[in-house]
Amino acid sequence: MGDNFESLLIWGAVYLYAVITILLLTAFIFNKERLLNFVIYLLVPAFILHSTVFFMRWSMTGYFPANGEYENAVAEGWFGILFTVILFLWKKGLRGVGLVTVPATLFFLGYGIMKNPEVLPHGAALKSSWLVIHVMFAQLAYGAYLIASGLGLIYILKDNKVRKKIESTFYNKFPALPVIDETMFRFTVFGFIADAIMIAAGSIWAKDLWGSYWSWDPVEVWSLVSWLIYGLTIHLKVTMGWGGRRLAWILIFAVLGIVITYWGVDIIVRNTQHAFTVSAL
Amino acid sequence: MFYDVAGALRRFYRFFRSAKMTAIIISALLLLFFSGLIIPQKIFFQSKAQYDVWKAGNPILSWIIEALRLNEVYVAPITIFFMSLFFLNLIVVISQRVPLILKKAFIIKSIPLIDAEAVKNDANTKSFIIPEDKAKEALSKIKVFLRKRLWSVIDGDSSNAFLAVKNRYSPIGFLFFHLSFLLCLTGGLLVMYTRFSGELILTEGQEFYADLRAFRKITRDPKIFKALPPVGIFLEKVVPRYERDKATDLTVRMKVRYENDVKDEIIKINEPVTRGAMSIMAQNIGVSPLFVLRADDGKEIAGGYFSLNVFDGEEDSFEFENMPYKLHVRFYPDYEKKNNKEYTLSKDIKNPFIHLTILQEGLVVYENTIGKGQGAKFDSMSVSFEDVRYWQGLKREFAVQDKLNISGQRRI
Ligand code: HEM
Repeated sequence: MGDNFESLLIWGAVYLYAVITILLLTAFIFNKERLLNFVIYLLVPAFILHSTVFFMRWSMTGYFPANGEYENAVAEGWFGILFTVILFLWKKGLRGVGLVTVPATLFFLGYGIMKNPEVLPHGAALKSSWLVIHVMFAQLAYGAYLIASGLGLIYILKDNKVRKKIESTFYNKFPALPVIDETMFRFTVFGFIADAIMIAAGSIWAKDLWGSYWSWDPVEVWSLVSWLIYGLTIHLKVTMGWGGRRLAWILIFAVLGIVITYWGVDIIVRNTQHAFTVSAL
Repeated sequence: MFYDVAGALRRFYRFFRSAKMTAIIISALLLLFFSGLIIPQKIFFQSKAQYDVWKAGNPILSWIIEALRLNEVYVAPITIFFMSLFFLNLIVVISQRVPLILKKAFIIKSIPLIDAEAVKNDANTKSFIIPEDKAKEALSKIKVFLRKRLWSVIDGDSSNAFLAVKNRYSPIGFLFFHLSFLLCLTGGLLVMYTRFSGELILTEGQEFYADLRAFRKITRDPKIFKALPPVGIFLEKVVPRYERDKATDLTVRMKVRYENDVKDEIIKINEPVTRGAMSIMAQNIGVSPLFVLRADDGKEIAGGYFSLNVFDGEEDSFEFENMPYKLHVRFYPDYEKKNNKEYTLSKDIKNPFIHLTILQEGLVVYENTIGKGQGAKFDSMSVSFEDVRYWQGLKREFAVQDKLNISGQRRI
C-alpha cells in the first residue's frame, strides 16, 4: 500500500474520466446512442477506483477527506458521480447529466493531484466531529446541484430539438421535457436542504472554534449568497411557475456561485479564516 | 372623491405577502451581501490611516459608499431594512399559510366530497363494480394495502368513502423550515444586542481581570447590557504540538475565576471552556521573549515579556517604556545556520535565537542574532534575551464581544 498504490488508483480514475468525457461529447455531438450505452462500462470502474481512494483516505486519517486541496478534490466530485452512476443504471434517459458531472470531476481531480496528494498532518482546527457533517453535506449539496445543472443542460438540448421540430431518435430516448423539469427541480431542492444543513453545521462548529456562529467571513457570505440563489430559484418555480427553459438556464449558471465559493474565495479573496487548504492555528 | 386609504392599504398588504415581494426582498439581500464581497469593508483595513489612503484614491466612489454605509454593509441601515422586511414578509406569509397547511395535511379535516358521476367522467380514474356484499371487505383490504405502503388513510363522513394521501405530513416541512428562519433571525438579533467578545493575548504566567479598558479592539460591541462578568484568568501553560510545522494540537492550562469560584481549566482548539454566560476559546499562539535592559553597571532599567507576532517568521517590534529605542525582532525556534543562511529546523522551541535590530531615531545602533541567555551591547547599555514563553490568543465571549490585545509589558 501507500502512495504509489493510491496514485495508481487516482490516475486510473482520471484517465477513465477523461475517456468518458470524450465519449460523452462525441455521443452528444454526433447523436450516437451506442456510445452512450458503452459509457457505463467505463463509468463504473472509474467510480470504483475513485471511491477506493475516497474511502482509503477516510480510513487512513480517520477523518472525512477534507484536509487540503487533494482530499477536497477527491470528495468534490464523488457524490456527483454517485448520482450519475445511479441515473445511468436507473433512469437511462437521464444519462446526459454525465456531460456536466464527469468533466467537472475530471477538472477537480486534475487540480487536486497537481496540488498536494500526500497525506498531510491534520490541523487542530479540523479535529472536530462537525467536520464530517459539515463537509459531507457540502459535497452532497454540490453533487446534487451539479446534477441539477446537468439536467438543465439536457433539458435545453432536448427543448432545442423539440422547438425546431427536429425528430431525433437520440433525443427521443430522453424522458419527456416535464419529467426532466421535475427531476432537475427535485435535485435542486435536495441540494438546497443539504446546503442548509452544511451552513448550520458550519455555524455550530464556528461557535466553538472562532467564537461566533456567524462572522460575515467571505466564505460564509458566498455560501449564503449561493444558497439564497438556489432558494430564490425554488421560490420562482413554486410560486411563480418559472419552470422549463428558464429554470434550466438558472440552474446551469447557479453552479458558478458554488465554484466561486469553493475556489474563488480561497484563491482570490484570501482574507478568510475559513481555509479549505492547510491552515496554521 | 376621497382617496381610498383602506383599499390602498389592502392592495399594499396583498402585494406585500405575495411571492413577488419575497423574491424582491431575497434579491435585494443577495445584492447587498454580494456587494460586501466587492466593496472594501472597513473591517478588512488594518488601520484608519490605511482606510483614509483608500478613500483619498476614490473620492466620489467612497462618498457614495460612505453615504449608504456600504463599507460595513452587513450592519448598514439598508441591510437592516431589508432584513426587517424579510422578517415581516416571513411572518405574514407563514401566518397566512398555516391554515392552508393544516388543511393540506388533513389536520383540519375537510375531505372533498367524491361524487360518483364526477369520478366516472374523469379520464384518469378507473371504476370497478363490486357486488355489494364484497364491497366492505374490498375497501378494508384496499385500506390495509395502502397503509402498508405508508399512505395515510383518512375516513370520510360516510363509512365507505375514504381518502388516501401519500406523504400526508410533507406540507408541515414547509412550516418548520420557514419557522427555523424566524428562529435564526431572532437569535441573530439577540446576539447583536447582548453579545460581547474579544481577543485577549496572555503570556504564560500572566493574569487578567475583567477590565473593559484593557480591551484594545472591540469587534462586537453590544448596544445594551455593557458589563463584563467578574472573571479572572491566569494562564499557566501553553503546549502546542506540531507535525511538519503544522499545529495539530494545542493544550492551554489556565485558572479561571468566575464569580469567586476558581477552577483549573484546559482549553483545546474546538473545545472552549464555558462558565455561566461566558466562554473562552483558544485562538492563535505566539511567543513572548523576555528582554531585560541594563545599564553599564548591570543595573536593571527595564524589562519584561513582550508578546510579539514573530512565530511564523514575521518581523515585529517593541519599545521599552520611556526609552528612545525601537527593537525589531525575528525569531528562530530551533536555530540553524548554514552557508551564512539563518533558518529554523522546526517550530518546536528547542534552540531559540533572535535576530535583533535596535534603532535609535531611525538609525541602526545594533544588529545581530543572539541565543537565549545572550546579550547585545549598544549605546553604553545592554539588552539580554533571557527567556521565551508562549503567549496565547484567547477569544472571550460573553453573553454580552471584542478583541483585546494586551502586549506583555508586565515586569517580572
Ligand atoms: C461553500 C460552502 C462551504 C464549503 C464547501 C465548506 C467546506 C469546508 C471544508 C472542506 C472544510 C475543511 C477545511 C479544510 O479543508 O481545511 C471546512 C471547515 C470549516 N467550515 Fe466550512 N464550508 C463552507 C461554508 C462554511 C460556512 C458557511 C461556515 C460557517 C458559518 C463554515 C464553517 C467551517 C468551520 C468552522 C470549519 C473548520 C475550520 C477550519 O478549517 O479553519 N463553513 N469547511
